Amino acid sequence: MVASEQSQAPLGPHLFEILLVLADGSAHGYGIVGAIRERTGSRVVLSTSTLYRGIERLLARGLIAEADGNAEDSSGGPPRKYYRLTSIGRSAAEQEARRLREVAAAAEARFLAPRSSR
Amino acid sequence: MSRGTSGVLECIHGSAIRVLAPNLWRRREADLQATLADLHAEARSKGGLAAAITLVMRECRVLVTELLRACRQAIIGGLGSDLRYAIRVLLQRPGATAVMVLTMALGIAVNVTVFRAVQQAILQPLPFDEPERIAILWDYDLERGRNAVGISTALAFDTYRNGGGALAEFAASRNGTLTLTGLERPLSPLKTFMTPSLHALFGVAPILGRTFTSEDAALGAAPVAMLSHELWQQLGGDPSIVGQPLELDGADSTIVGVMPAGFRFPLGNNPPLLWAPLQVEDWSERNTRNLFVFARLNEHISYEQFGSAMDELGASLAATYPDSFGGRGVRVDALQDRAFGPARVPLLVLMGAVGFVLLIACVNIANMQLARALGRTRELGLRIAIGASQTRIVRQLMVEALLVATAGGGLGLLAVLWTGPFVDRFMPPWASNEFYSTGLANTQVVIFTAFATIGTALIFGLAPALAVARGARNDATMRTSTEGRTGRRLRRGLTIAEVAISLVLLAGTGLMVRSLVSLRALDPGITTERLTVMRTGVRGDEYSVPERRAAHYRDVVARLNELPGVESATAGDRLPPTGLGASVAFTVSNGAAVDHGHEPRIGIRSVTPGYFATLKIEVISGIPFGHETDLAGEPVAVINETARRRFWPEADPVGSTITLLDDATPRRIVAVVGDVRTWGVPPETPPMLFLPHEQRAAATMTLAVRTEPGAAVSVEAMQKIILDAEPRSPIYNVTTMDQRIEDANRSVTGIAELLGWFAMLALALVTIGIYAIMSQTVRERFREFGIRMALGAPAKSMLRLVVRDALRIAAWGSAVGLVGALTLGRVLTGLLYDVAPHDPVTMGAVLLGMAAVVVTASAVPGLRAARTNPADTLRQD
Repeated sequence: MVASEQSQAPLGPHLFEILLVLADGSAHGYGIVGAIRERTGSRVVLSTSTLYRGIERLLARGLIAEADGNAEDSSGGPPRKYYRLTSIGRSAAEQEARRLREVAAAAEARFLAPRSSR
Repeated sequence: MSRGTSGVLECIHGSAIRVLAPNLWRRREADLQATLADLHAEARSKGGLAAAITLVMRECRVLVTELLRACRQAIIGGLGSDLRYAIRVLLQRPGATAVMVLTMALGIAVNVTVFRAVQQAILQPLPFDEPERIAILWDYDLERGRNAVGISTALAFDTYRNGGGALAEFAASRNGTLTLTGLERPLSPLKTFMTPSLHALFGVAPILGRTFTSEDAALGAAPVAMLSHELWQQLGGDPSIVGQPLELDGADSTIVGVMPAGFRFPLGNNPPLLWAPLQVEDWSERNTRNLFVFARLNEHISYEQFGSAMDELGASLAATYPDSFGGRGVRVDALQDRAFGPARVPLLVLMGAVGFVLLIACVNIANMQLARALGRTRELGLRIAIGASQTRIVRQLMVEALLVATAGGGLGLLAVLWTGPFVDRFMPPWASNEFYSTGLANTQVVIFTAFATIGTALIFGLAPALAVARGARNDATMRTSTEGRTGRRLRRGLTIAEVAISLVLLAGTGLMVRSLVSLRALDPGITTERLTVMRTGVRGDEYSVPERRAAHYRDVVARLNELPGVESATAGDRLPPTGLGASVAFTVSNGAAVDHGHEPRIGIRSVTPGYFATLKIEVISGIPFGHETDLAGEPVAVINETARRRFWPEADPVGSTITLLDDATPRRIVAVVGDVRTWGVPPETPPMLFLPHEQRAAATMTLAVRTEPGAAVSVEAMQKIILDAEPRSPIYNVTTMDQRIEDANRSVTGIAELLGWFAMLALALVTIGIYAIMSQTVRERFREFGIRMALGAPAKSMLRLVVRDALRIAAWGSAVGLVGALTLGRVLTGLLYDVAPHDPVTMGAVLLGMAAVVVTASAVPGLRAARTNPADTLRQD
């Protein structure tokens, strides 16, 4: 109940970016930063603290969860935690995408459509 | 980029997160470290050092922004509801709140009042352009030290000006009085003669007209004058006044300019109302010291450089004219230091005293806050239990403290309207002058009040808030502690501090009062009762001959003597308790031998016959000059006891001759009279020489009239005699001798009396504080007392228990306070007379007094304890 209410709340841009990355499959922190940077052509580069604050908020709202042992990674060093999208997360992201589409459509009609001169 | 550098940057990156977002770090340390390692590995392989630095910088920026946002949230978020809640809580117990606010207001009011004096006397810059570069030059006696200063001669000024022109601009001034005639009643403004360069040196331009030119200062130039803003206003404030004539001493001067309001020079208590150009007849005059010399140091010239250059000039003067400058040196002071020097120590002592009063007030309020907050432990514990953070509780209590402080501060600022004039009454003239003319709330005062208010809120709010919040947390979890031990210990600590602080203040006051008693006990050397004193003068061409001046005063004094009810009257160019004043070098016929060039100097007074009889100055040997002396007769003089002791240590000086170097006339000493001392700390009895007015007639004299016991002689009658003799005579400074001495003493008495008041205030606050804490203790130990009495303890022992407890607190406080008092004594040394800074009598008396206060304040709660009914206590269980 609480989780579904929380999932209704609008998502900040950074949180939405993280959800977008996790829609393709689970990823670790460094992977998420890299994917966002790649997708946006370095327009959005999350700092480490922003990333983990975002992850904590998404975890608290039940939109993502820690993925169980993902051993594909072979880069060594300390063990990395992987995160995956939950079903609530997926629907929240879809909802946000729809909202953004509406916003984009409205904006397009007002600002980007050819103007009719009188 | 090397692995090492990368490692360092990664480490910095991690540390930044750890420090600026500690909670995040704690929760996700391993994950964060892994991600950081990955990011830095990537930076190493791709962008090198620049990429890694960008990474760290971006992180820091984000972290700081986030931290600031969080802080803002913590401080402002929910502040409105805290404020409303605080107001409700404070209004629930209006009595206690009122006591706290009033205590605070009292503390703030006395602080603001004294701060205003400090501001007036010390903080305000001199009203000149770049005042820090203006120096004043003195001539001082090498043997007697740098404080034995005097003013300069024309020759010395000329030498400095010619020799030091590359380092500074020089200017000189001389003070005098002159009478503005042609008005309804003659007005005697103080006047300063100044070299034309002086205005330029001060960098203050006239608002009308011009300053003096070198032509104005030439001998025989047409007389001109510049007016102060005040005098200009007094004369009607006509904007076209420049160029108009002004009748001064019966002769016409032309007004050439008006200075702006606020321009004061010299900086004494009676700033002059007009200025005239200084005309020097003889620049080689080297025996009359009558010039104040000023210099504006050129840019990049330090006081050290300038001082050493002046030292050289002084030494060359001494070598060339050993008779005038031998044994003399040049002392350079920043004008600012000189102007404010005497005010600094007393004012800072007062500031410290009121600071102590405020601290004691704070401690009292802290104790009250603590007691009140402890009573609310249950409520606060509940708030913590339902999720309020400890920070939030501390903030809530701090908001209450700030509210009390702000109300007190505001009230205190208003109260200055009353405390200001009260304190001003005791202030020495240099601090009270125009004290309240600048309005109540100038920016500095408001800023000071704001700082004092917030500072005190922090002092009395924070400690109780922290203690209570900690207590409340315990209470929320265990619900066992009632009024935590921390709170009790804190309250005792605060009371100990309170006792210590007030002890320091009391000791300082005690020392000042003892010093005052010693000063008052000194024999002034004159009898002051029933003496009316006034100053007057004669001006103009007809009085340029000494005989005419002498005749005028002979006539006035004779007529005053005939006035019914007058015992006797006299006149002198200066009357006690004025200090040495101008001094003149002299030689004596049969005194102790002196080297040429090291002739001693003596203060000169010109007095009418009857001076010693009227003032009741003791005649030690010989017979003072009487009415038979005149200009044609044999030159005679009277010396005082100090002069005899210093210059004729062996022989009797009566009959020997003394020759003043300024007129080279040998005079026969006819009598030795007792010393009349000056006031202030330390009191002085300078060597003095009294000359008959007939033989050295001054134009401006102070008249002293002693009335017969019980006779009422009006001042108007005395003034009428003066005006009958010369209608153009100004009459001013009409007062009594007692008042003159009181005024001269004010720098010591005022400070002592103010300290006394502040100490009383502190003592009252301490009494309240001790009473409050002992009452609280008795309430807390109510059950214990009941049980003790049920077990057979006599009621008297309860009283003893409480008082002993209070005395224990006082003993700790006194021990700490005594250390502070001894330190303070050293600071006060310069203000003390005949009292050691660690005077055991004072210290003992203060300790006893404190003990008495503590016993009294704790006796009431003690008696309440003694009246405890064991049955009541046991029934409560």
